[in-house]
Amino acid sequence: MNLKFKIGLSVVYASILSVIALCIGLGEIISFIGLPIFPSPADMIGGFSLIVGASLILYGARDTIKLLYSGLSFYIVGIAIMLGIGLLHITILLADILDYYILCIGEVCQAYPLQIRPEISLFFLYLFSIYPFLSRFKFRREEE
Amino acid sequence: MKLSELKPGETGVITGVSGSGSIHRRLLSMGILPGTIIKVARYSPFGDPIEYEIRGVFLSLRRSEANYVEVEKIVPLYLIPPGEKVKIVVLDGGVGFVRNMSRMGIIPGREVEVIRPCCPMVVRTNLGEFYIGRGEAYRIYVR
Amino acid sequence: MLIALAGNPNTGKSSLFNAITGAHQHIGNWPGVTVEKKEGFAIFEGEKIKVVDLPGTYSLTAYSLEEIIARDFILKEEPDVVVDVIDATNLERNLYLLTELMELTDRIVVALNMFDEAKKKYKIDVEKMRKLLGLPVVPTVAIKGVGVDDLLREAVRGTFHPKKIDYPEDVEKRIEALENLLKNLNIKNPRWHAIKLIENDGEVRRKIASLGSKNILHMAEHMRHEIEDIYGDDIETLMASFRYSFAHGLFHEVAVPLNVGGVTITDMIDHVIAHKIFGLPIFLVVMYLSFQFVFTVAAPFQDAIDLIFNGKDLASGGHINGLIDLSYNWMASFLPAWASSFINYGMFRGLAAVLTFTPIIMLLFFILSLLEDSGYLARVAFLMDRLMRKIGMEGRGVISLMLGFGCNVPAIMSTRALKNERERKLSIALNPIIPCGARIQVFAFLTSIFFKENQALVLWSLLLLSMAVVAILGYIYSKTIFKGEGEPFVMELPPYRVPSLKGITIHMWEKSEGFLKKAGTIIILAAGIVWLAAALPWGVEFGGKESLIGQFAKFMAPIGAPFGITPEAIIALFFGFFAKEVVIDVFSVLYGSKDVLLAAMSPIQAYSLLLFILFYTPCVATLGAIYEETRSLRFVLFVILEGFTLALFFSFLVYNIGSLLGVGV
Repeated sequence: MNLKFKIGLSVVYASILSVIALCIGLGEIISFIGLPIFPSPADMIGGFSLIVGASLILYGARDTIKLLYSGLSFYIVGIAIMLGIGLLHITILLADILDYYILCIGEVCQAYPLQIRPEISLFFLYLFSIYPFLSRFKFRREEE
Repeated sequence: MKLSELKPGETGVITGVSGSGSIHRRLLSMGILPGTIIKVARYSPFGDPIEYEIRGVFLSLRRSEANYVEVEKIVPLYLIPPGEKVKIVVLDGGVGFVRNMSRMGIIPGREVEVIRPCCPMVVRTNLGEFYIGRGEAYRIYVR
Repeated sequence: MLIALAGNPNTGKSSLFNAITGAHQHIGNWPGVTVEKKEGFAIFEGEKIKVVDLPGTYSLTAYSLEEIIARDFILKEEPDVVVDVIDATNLERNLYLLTELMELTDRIVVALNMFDEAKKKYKIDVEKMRKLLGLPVVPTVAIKGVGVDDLLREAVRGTFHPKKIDYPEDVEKRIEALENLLKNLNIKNPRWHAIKLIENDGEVRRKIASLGSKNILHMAEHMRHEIEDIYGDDIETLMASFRYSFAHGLFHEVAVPLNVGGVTITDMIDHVIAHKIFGLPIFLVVMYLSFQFVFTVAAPFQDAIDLIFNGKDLASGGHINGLIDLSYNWMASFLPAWASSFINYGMFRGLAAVLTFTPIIMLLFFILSLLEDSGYLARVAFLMDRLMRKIGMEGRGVISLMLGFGCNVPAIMSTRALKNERERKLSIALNPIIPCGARIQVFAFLTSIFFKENQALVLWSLLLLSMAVVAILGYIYSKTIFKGEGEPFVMELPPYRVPSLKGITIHMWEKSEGFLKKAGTIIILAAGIVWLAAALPWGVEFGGKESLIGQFAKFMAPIGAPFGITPEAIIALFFGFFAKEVVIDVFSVLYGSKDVLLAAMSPIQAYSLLLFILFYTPCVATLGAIYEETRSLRFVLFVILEGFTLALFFSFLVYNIGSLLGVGV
């Protein structure tokens, strides 16, 4: 498997994920406004963030496959944002669990109603697409 | 031309710094002086301020402040396509570099012709034809 | 032994200072000014070394307070060694200050800081640098503590044979002529004074004039004009150029750039961050991630602290005693009940309140330090400068405004980063309008009751309104009360770096400490006062109609009516003065259940109340911070007036127009 192929594979994989993320993001915004099309959490800015990250990845996808720095820039910032969002939601989940049990002290509580947000799944899935960043020294500038 | 008129990616050599008071001083102490090479990295989304690369450092200047700086537009040699004749404006390097270049006839004010594009380049000067390595081609600025 | 640390801003000078002095440091101010002074000491090989951290400067002219402080210290206090802390990744520019320092003193040790990063950028010949300068040069990585011992060793035992920086012949001979004349005046370092006189340095001119040597001044002026004529440029530009050529030459002799024309990660990221379309949205996303992080991670800690101090009312009807309850019971055994109540349910409660918002404050400072140390904050200033200028501030001002959404106290403290006094005051005046986390919690509570269906919409309307008011008010202020010149915006954009956890934590502690001391004392005092107002006169029901507060509310009722504000709400607002979250507690106490509350006000009254809470006056802690930063009681009163005016205006408008139109009645 040569370099170009591996990079192409990562980019295509990330692009597909990003299209899904775009839809989820849109869904979150639509749910927020009140039209229940999707069963997704209603979160305007959360949805907006997903859309921003996903569009960055898709915008830089083509140039990344061409091994140009101009594309890679957008690609890695996009991936970074998606990973950041995922990390945030994992942190929120953990903090929420902790908070739940603290508030439960002295009471009889049910077990924590675990809900895994799509962003968390996306986090783990996106981890597989960082290969282009690791090979960044093989890229070239536009004019060369 | 004014520094603010340079577009992203373009390079200039500073010919004058006007303005008065605190702005003038600030520009000077940051190394914005006649003879210095300055490159436009990018504009802010609103077109103002502008990010410049100077002496290896990235600085941001407002458009109004960049108006105080006069520059002459220059281009690094490595961008020049074969067949073109250009005039050397400034060399970005220490005494050693300047000396090596002058041995090849690459001296500010002289003309050279590009035979082979980067990299390595081949140029013809009044002293003959020479190879110019990548690192060198990036540091020779022409008009 | 006395060592002074000099250098450009952002070179890691403070990290080096911390590495040398450790815990033995004292932070104060230079006499008579608001510039921070850091002093400390270290013991090295049996010798006690006093270290003073001079303000970071790019040069040593007489034009800014920091520069004057730095050079006066070197001239008057004559430190045994001056350490020039150089950011080795930015070598050429940093060498400029070195040239100025070399004219001021012979005993300089050069610290090539951030050497680990510099090695990736240049191949640096340290030995050659030593030879060319004639001074000790020590590579250091201050945040990791690398090279610090070598640095101190050179300071104590190094040899100094600095090369003289030569100016062109015609300038040099004039300097020497002046120097000879100045020698007769018996001043230290006549050459430096001669150079400064030719440069038309205001402070040096004053000094020589006070020594009565008018003819020397005339001569210097004459020489200056001659030089300007020879070279065809003004003296400041000329002298700077001469020094920079030395720096430039030295740089190219000792450093070879690696990877010329390569693309750095910083370049790649900036390409996207400053993008026309993506730039701002990315900023919004980063802000979202930051605030969400702060509020959710803080929550469990806040609840834990609340539980520990205040105990808990169980759903089953019982009550767990918190520390405050326990303390009350204990004190009540030897003090009269009222005294125990005052101490515990008054002041101790106040302390608990402070501790409850400490997690938010610390996390906010954590995020702020993270964004700053990574280099992203400079990009934010770069992005937002244009917008900020429209409301009278510069790019960096957006950060304090953003912090306001977390808590106004750290936000106001962060305005120190704004150099320009006028901009700083403007920023402080606008900040209280931004609803902090506490206020947002109150909104969330009230909207969940009164506007259940449209909760998010109503919340957003409040946030957007506050931002609009900040923008409009900023614009008005910048054209009227806070009119004036801005600062030059020449700002460095440092390369991105992965900030060290240690570094961020240190910054976080430094800033949080300040908050805790200031806000803490004020809130505890305020809590005591509130308790008194609710408990007096003796024997009344706590916080009830007969107490001072209750009577105050009854008195204010007719005033509140045209704004749609009920007497109970007034009580809540009063308590909100000392901490906004308390408003929620007060409502719970006064109304008992949510349904009772719902019935007590019409939607339009509720919205009017929300607007009032949004603007009226910031909490006591914020006012305390404002006083601390401005040292002006007048300013604090101004902010209070500003708040009430906006609150009354909007409440009145909305309530009456709404009632007239029959909306939400």
